[in-house]
Amino acid sequence: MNTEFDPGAAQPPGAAQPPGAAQPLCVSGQALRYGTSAVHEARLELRPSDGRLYLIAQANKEQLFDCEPRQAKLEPALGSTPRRVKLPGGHLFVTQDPNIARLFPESRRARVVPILERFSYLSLVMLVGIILAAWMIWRTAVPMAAHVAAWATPQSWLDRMDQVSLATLRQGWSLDSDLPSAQKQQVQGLLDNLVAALPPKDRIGYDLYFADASMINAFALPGGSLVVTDGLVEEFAADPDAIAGVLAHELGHVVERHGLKNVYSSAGTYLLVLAMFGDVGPIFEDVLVNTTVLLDLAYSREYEQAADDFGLALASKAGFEPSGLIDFFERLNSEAGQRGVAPPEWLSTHPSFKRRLERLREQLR
Amino acid sequence: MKRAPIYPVEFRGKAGEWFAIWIANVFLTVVTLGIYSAWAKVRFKKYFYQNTYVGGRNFDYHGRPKNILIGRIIVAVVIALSYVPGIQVVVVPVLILLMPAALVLSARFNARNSSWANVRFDFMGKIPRAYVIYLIYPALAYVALIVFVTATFFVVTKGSSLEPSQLAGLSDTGKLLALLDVWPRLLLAFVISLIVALFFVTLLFRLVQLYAVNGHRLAGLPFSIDARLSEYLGVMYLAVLLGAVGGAALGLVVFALSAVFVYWTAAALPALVVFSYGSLILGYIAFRVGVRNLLFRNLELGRGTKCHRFRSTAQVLEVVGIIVTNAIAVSLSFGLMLPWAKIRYYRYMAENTFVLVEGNLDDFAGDAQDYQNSVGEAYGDFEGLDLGIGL
Repeated sequence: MNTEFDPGAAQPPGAAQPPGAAQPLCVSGQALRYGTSAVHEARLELRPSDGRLYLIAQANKEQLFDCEPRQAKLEPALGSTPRRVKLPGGHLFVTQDPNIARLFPESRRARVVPILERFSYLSLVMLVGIILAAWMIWRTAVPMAAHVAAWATPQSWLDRMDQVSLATLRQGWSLDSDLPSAQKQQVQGLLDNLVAALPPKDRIGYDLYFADASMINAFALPGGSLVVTDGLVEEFAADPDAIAGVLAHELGHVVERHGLKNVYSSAGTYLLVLAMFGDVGPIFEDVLVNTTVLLDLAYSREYEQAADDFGLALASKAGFEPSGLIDFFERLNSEAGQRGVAPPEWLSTHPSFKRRLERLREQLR
Repeated sequence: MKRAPIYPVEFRGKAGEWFAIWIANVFLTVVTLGIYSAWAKVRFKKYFYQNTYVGGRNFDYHGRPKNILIGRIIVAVVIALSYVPGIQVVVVPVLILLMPAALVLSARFNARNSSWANVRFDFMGKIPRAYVIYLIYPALAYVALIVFVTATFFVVTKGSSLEPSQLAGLSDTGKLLALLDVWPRLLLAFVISLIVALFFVTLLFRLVQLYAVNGHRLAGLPFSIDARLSEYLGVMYLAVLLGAVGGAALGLVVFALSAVFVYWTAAALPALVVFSYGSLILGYIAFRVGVRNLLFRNLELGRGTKCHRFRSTAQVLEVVGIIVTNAIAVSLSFGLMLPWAKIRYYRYMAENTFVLVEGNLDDFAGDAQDYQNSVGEAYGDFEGLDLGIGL
């Protein structure tokens, strides 16, 4: 215990040192003993005489504690909260005095992070950086990762996914429609011709299902199950090129694994948004989730375009009239025009018929 | 008798300051492709904890980013595994079976890494009890509820045109007409089922809350509540009523406005949307605020007669106002107002919390053990068992 210590003097106790010699670095604050809530006004001193840290009570100048500086840990600054020094043995020293940093050599990370966290022009630079980086990740890193993940997914998983989806579909629809079997066989024949034109590695087993529904629609499941509605088959009974064009488009989804990529890239977008905003509370979370859904639609529209390109090439390679897909969209486009307004494109999983038609015509030219 | 001195909970965080820290957090998270998010979480917790004061002493958070990162990797792997066809059938039931134990570890991690005035919190809840609370009771309640609802519908429709013997010969239209015929009975059955379902939910909620709260310690002193079921039921039924009535009123206003200014056939849909969202938000907030006030009213810290007590004075309509205006401000600013919104909400909750100190705030003393556990942290991210500050 050092009873001679005088807090008013800048001189270390009892030492007759020449003026200008090293003086103790001294910071006042509060000390809390290990595991206790009582607060003691105290000061922390680094004495140059022995290079040790001393904790001294302000009230009675009692020396509470001493240790080597490297045994104590100064926590990185955090906004304007008091700086915290964790002393060995679980004691705590808290101070508002910024000079505390002069007692401890801080690590680079402990120095850099508070600089980034202070509001300055750097904050604005980082804000712009966040927007740019998020855009780049969303445009390139997420699709690339989805691409790699989609190719790494084994076919057996896809087959199982198909089984589950088909079981769900069967709850709403019959997948063995009453269509005449001659008509079914004709469509199956179109599919066989298209599959024969695929490169051998892409000729996985494709299963064709006819859904008992009057709407005009067709879709593909990731494992190679294709579903066409009776409405589509009947509407285009006289135009096999159109049906072949649609089937070729759906084959494009399967071969290029669009369904799977969609799942992976949705997960990626969700993670990106989550990383940026974190835990936002119950109501705004809904807003956020809906935003990511809108973002995912952009990927979906790109896949549709890619499948159109693929379908056009495949249909012509298999010997069909490549304009079949164009006929198909023209018919749908005029019907949609009669029915009224379509939702705006950014709210839609598919690009507008008009845009798809333009693109297909351009490719045929 | 001397009244216990009242200490308000004080929050000193500033929106501008937190905005700058948040920007740095997001920036470093994005450029490190998510790795920094674990450090960001610690910065977030430390900022809010260290700015929360009781009696001039602040809280602190001691979780280590590396453990949080490992925890997050574990979560990512487990989630990915639970989507893999084939393994899924095994992984998902195992996860459900492990859930209660993981919740306890998570509560322990969060509590032991929270401190006030250099004194650590702790969670002492027992794992077997967690299995009873989180798995067995809910399963029993579920079965009981199904039996009750089936029985109610059976009894209520007995003797009416909805009996199977009467329905047998009818066409689809006939069945629909029979259904319309007895709608008052069906409504009655629905209301009874709803009341009973809410009763079961409240029962389970209370058990979970008692278990979570009574397991916590500060410096070895136990937190305890023994709130009666009737108090919880009162909060629950009032919240549902408020949600239904308030939502309906909002829906009516929207209906009237769109009927006048747009066209009456177009008025039903927006009115329905406003009704469903409005009643959900109102009911949810009313429940949360009611339970918070009830929890703090009944909470004690300490043993015997010398207990510290608490009060919460949050008001449902004030919280609704804060949450709704926060959501609007955050949406209109494309997320930039998020730090402001968070500080505003947190400050309101802190300023409406009080500690009634019995004796002296200096007298807390206990072991400050360090506890780092990645598995506990992994669940801690998902579950709100964080009672360290209880805001």
